[in-house]
Amino acid sequence: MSYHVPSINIIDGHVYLGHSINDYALKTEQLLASLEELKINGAVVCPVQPKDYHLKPANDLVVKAVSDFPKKLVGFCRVDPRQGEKALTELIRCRQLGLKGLLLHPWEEGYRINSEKAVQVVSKAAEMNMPILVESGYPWVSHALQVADLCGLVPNAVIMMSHGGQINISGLAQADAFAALRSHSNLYIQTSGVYRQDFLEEVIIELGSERVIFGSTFPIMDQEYELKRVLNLNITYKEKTKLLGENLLKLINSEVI
Amino acid sequence: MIHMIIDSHTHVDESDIFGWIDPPETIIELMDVAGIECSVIMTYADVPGLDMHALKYIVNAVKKYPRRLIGYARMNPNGKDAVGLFREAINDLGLKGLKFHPESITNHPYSDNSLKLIHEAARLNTPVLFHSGDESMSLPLQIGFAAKECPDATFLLAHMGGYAHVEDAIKVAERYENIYLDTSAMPYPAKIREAVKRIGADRVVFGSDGPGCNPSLEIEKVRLAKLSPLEEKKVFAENILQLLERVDKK
Repeated sequence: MSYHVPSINIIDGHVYLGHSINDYALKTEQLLASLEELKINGAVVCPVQPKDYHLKPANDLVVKAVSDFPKKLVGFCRVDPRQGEKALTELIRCRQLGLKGLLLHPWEEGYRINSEKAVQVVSKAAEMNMPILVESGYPWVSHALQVADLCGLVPNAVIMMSHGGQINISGLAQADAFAALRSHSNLYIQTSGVYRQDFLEEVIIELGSERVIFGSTFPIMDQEYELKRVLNLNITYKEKTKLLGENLLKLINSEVI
Repeated sequence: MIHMIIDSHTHVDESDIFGWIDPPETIIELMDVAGIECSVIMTYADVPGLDMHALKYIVNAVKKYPRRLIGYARMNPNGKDAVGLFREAINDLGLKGLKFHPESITNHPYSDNSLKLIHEAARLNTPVLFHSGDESMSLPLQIGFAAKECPDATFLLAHMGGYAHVEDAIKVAERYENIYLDTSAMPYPAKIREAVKRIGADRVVFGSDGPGCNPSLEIEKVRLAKLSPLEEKKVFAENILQLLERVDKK
């Protein structure tokens, strides 16, 4: 299998930096080496849930990485909506420090993505023009229709679902993911772990290539394999260009990377 | 270097129920692109069930491409005379294995009726391919119960436990030597390497779950696991061929 991608500006829309309490870990220099090897020009970097539970230092680690490598990395912050006002304060602080988007991980932090407190945080992020990346497909907390509900509750928010909105290896969650995308035009999907190529291809045919974004969730998933998942799609070169970078850069209003 | 690739898990069916229309030509075309010599095929529908023609569909596909396709019977153990139908599928129709998808038939892997059918598969020397994953009736530890109850049967865990149950899948394969792991759809190349390290290269088999999953990409995943040439040879072909040869020696 050969992958020839001449002159596509490839950006990975979902990478974690730091050492997670769940034992996955990535340092900035390791990420940069992987980007170099795979000819990926840049990445959205997100904080992990660290071993001491404190998200503020994890956000600061992302701020530092972005300030060290501003032409390679775009930073998203992470807050826990259950903390209410404290979460809003941290979100504003991160925005002022230059982070461009918000990552929400309802599974690791433990809340429903369409809960009242999550809606408050998402509304604030939307108000500050920050796109929201939701770790999606998790049972009880972030399945596709819960994320779709969030999209309806905060219609001015730009929301990306990781994993195509599904973590289900029967394919039986595809219908909900499709329904979510059809019903909310402010909803996008990322590609990591989407095991059925035909699902991604059908979304592109029916809803357009603007709604699909390459994101690997590296180091939880394998960055090289996740890139190949997109390169292997039976779509046009122009569509690949959009999936691999253009769509994301539009959402984060960035021309830097 | 890969000498031969056998795909141990693909689908051929025209299912209005799921909206997945995949005639045999679809997988044959993908096999040609990927360099796959032969594929094990099964339907999306279960027999007995909503589509009673499912077994015939597989038999006809194998008749059409006898050198490229090998058929499994996808069964619902709760249906009328499931054991008799399965026996006929193996003895008279030339199929080579049993497929269970506990989610589509809403049936626990270790139910009495499942075990009856698995015991019959053991008597016929056919492998039993189980969908495994993160859902309520497909958990590796549940299939482990069935493997313990039927030590003479050979189980293959499709998808190696899916997204969040890969560790459990490797664990039950460590515990029960009659469990093999099928690499299809599961997204972590490193876990294939880990499985080979922990249970040996003899009990890991390549599967794509095509045509929904692209076989070329699924092959790439196994290559990214960076196995030795000998291990790759076993995973890509030898292990599944050995299981299928036993069926002919019943």
